[in-house]
Amino acid sequence: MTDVAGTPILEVPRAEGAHDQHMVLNMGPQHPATHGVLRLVLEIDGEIVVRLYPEVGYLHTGIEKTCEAKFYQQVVPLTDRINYLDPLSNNLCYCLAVENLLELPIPEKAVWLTVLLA
Amino acid sequence: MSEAISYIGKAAVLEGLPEHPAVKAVLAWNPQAITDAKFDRNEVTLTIAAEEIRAAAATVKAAGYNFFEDMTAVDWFPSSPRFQLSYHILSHSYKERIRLRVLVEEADPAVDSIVPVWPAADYYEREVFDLFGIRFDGHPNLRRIMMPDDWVGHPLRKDYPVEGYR
Repeated sequence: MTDVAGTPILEVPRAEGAHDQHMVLNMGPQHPATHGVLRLVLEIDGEIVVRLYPEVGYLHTGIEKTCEAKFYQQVVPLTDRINYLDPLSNNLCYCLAVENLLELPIPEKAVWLTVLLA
Repeated sequence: MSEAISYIGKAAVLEGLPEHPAVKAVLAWNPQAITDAKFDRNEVTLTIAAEEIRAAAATVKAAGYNFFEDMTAVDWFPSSPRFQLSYHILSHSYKERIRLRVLVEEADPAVDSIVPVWPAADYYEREVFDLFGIRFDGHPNLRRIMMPDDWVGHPLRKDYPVEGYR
């Protein structure tokens, strides 16, 4: 076996018949590393991941559907909660879209605030 | 901002943006494939005939629009054709985006998958299938992605209630 650069990788000696079958391992959604948002079905050969089936949708709450029944301003608290690590960038995306759509004149101070915050 | 240029309609875009790389490439490939076009707020939108979308995607990819960014759908209920698919494609070399738009009829909504052109479209098409109920022919794994597998209905359709019982 070689790495991407073609350098040989030291093979770990295996017991006879170790290649016979792969192990299927479920990781998440309760796994601490995925903290409830993602399930990974891993097909592993020892320590090597042969195949991986990600299962998403555990955190899908239908924010886009909720927005259908809101006014433009009421959507900002919802886009705020899409990603709790970086809420302002999603707000910025949404606000830029609405501003562009309505051709709203944006005060210079507000433009600088978006630069600072998002 | 109010002085921005906009071209509405196929003829206006072809006349206004004859040198645009994506417009030029699609025209050189098949002028009939463009059914409508729009240049508004600095965004180019080409409406492509539904059966031509995979070939159109391959054409703009060859023309330098290398990066499939996003795709989604719009439900224009109760208009007809009811559904619209929007493919957002970025070119790193031209530093600009185009939007390919496909209109899909409500009865038997299905279009060709563009996964053979951009494998990244896989999950996006699954999402549109799940939430809008539009099928993608030739997709390798067209299953629900957000909703549970046994869910009935497609939540982002406009005739699906926002709250309360279905």
